[in-house]
Amino acid sequence: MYPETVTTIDDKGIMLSSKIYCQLKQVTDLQKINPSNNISIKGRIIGYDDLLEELKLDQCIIQ
Amino acid sequence: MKKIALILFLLISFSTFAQKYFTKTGNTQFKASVEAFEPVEATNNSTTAIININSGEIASLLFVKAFNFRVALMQEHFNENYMDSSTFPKATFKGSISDFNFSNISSTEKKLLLKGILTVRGVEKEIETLATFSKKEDKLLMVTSFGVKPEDFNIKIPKIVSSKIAGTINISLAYEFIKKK
Repeated sequence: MYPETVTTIDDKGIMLSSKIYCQLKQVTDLQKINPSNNISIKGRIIGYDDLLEELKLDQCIIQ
Repeated sequence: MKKIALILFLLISFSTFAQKYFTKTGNTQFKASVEAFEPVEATNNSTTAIININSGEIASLLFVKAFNFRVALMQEHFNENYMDSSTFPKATFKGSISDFNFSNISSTEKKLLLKGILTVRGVEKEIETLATFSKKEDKLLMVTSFGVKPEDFNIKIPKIVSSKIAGTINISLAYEFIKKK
């Protein structure tokens, strides 16, 4: 596995390396993100969004 | 002369500098329920939409697979039998808003005409509807709904279930746009 960096966090999900958007199943999972820690994320790939040029995942959970 | 050139330059640079608002988590809902039968409805909470606030152009995209049904079996039928979501994973809309002026939109709702092409299962259909715009803090809100028919997109409903699915499917959208940096 290649580690990705969290580039942005919004109210519904997180962006990895400015190209993968992970929409969270529960927004409370956002509290699990700390600047220094590594997280592991699991979700469903729904497709490539060619409007924003990013890969989109939904129902993501942070383990 | 210099002044005019400067004004012209400013005007041109203003008009070419497109300011965009967008959402990745727009809410798109459809309802095809018939009274007294099990509700046929689903929600998609991951619709992408971009709006150019200078020109009033709008584009949106959703993944059919991301529609959530209350009944899992209905979701499977929707994807496999009706929408062919493996062949046609996306539904898109491209259009424009008439008389869109970003500075005229306030916290009070304003109705504007939204026109464009909806593409579902690779079939295009022209849509014309009134959309409600408003501003909330730094967000731009858009709410609208319109009706489509399954036959518009070559979706065949088997006779056995045709009485349980509405002839006109109501699609409603609620998008919260934020400024694109």
